[in-house]
Amino acid sequence: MLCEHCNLNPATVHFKSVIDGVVQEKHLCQNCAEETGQLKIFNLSNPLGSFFETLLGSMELRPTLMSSKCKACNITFEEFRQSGQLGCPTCYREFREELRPILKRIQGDIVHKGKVPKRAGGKLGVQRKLENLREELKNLVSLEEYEKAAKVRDKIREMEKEAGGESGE
Amino acid sequence: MSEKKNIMKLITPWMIESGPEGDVVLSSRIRLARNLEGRSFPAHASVSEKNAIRDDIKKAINKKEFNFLELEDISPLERENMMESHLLSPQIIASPEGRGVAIAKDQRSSIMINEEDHLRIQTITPGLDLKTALIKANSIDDDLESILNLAFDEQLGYLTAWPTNIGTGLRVSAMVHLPGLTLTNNLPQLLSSVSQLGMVVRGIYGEGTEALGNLYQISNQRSLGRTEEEFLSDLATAVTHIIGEERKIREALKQKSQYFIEDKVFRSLGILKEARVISTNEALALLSDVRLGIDLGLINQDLKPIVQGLMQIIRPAHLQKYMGNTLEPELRDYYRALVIREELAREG
Repeated sequence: MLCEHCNLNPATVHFKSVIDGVVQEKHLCQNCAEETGQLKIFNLSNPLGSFFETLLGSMELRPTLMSSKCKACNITFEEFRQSGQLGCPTCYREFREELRPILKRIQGDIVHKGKVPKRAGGKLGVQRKLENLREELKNLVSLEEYEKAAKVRDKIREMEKEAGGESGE
Repeated sequence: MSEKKNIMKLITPWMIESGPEGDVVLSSRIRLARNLEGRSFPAHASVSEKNAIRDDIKKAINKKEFNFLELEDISPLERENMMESHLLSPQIIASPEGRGVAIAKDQRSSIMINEEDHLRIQTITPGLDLKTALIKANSIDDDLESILNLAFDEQLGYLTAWPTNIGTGLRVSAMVHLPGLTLTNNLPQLLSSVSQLGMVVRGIYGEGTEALGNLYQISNQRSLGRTEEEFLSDLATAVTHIIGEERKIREALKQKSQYFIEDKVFRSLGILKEARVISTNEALALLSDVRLGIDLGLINQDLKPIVQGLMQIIRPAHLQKYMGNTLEPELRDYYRALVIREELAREG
């Protein structure tokens, strides 16, 4: 098969794209693929960056995402897409939703099960317990178990007071 | 060469020690990536921010255990020397601004500052002994964490510059010597099965470096969704499997191709003992053969520390430090051959 673009060289690069359900195939030679920019995503100078580009290419993204910035370090999602590196810890919170499928692909699982810093461990533990208690409270109220609900509410208040006291120290 | 220093004094002590499964595994290594909350990762931080980060970390480092160095204060040759000793990465030595390293007195632990992450804690043990390395790394991490506010997310774990390191921030790796599998062309197949188990195989200085002297680094690919202990045990399982395969092949080579393998080992020893000019790559390949000969019982065990020491000392920066001055590459090849001859002659 000859290259569709120049009709001179054998086509060695084959693309298949699916846009709105329409399948399009392109068969190009190396030169034309490079010239038309189609080979850009295969540039291996930054393997991880190009991997993200390919991955993100297959995702539906909100239109303003690429230019949206991390409020802490000001890097844009576009910059992350190109380099594969985040700008600062806050980026993970700012782009949490967009990163989720990427992390799932590279890590397999997206919930940390390893070590927890001792300092955060204390705080996080309380927060988790509080979340669980609030959930329980909601359920009890909906079941009209007011007596039990009152006990849970007191427990929550007590814990909130303690947590607040700690952080105030 | 009469004013020559003792070769062993220039060698990282753990590198010539033999540990568990020492016939195949040279060393085990743990790396923990950590970052400070509220700071840009090094690639996005200005030099002044990197300096501030380094100052904060410097205050948190235990001065009794570690020597703290700012990379700008270290000469390029010394930095390269530290890379050859696995205390610094190839990435960090090229641009020293705002970067640092803390090295434990026994050189088994080090902390790189502002490499790809603010903190890279690294511990090494001889042979296959990942647990000891993890315990040590965790205790360094606990000490730092008691002073520094580390970036941590309840769901994503420790936050790192590359999303490939989040969660535990852990890289577990073993440096293995696989001459049998390489010689018999069994390595590609084995490595592809290892990669299916979520492991990566790299050259000796980590990411993007080539395998020299039949030495390979096997490490975990993922860092999230499992505990540190689970990642450790996965790697230990893969490495144990590789050790078994390598030993099987070595035994078969010894049984079925005795003359061939003896010839290869002693021919390499002969070249090392007599060569007048030798490159790093050739020397490492020949030393690998001699090491195999020692592990197969063809050559006296006493030679092992010398061979392990030579594997380190013949690398460019070590050789230049050993010779006491910077050398042109052609001269290096001459002095490399000279050092090897002298060290091997010393053992008779």
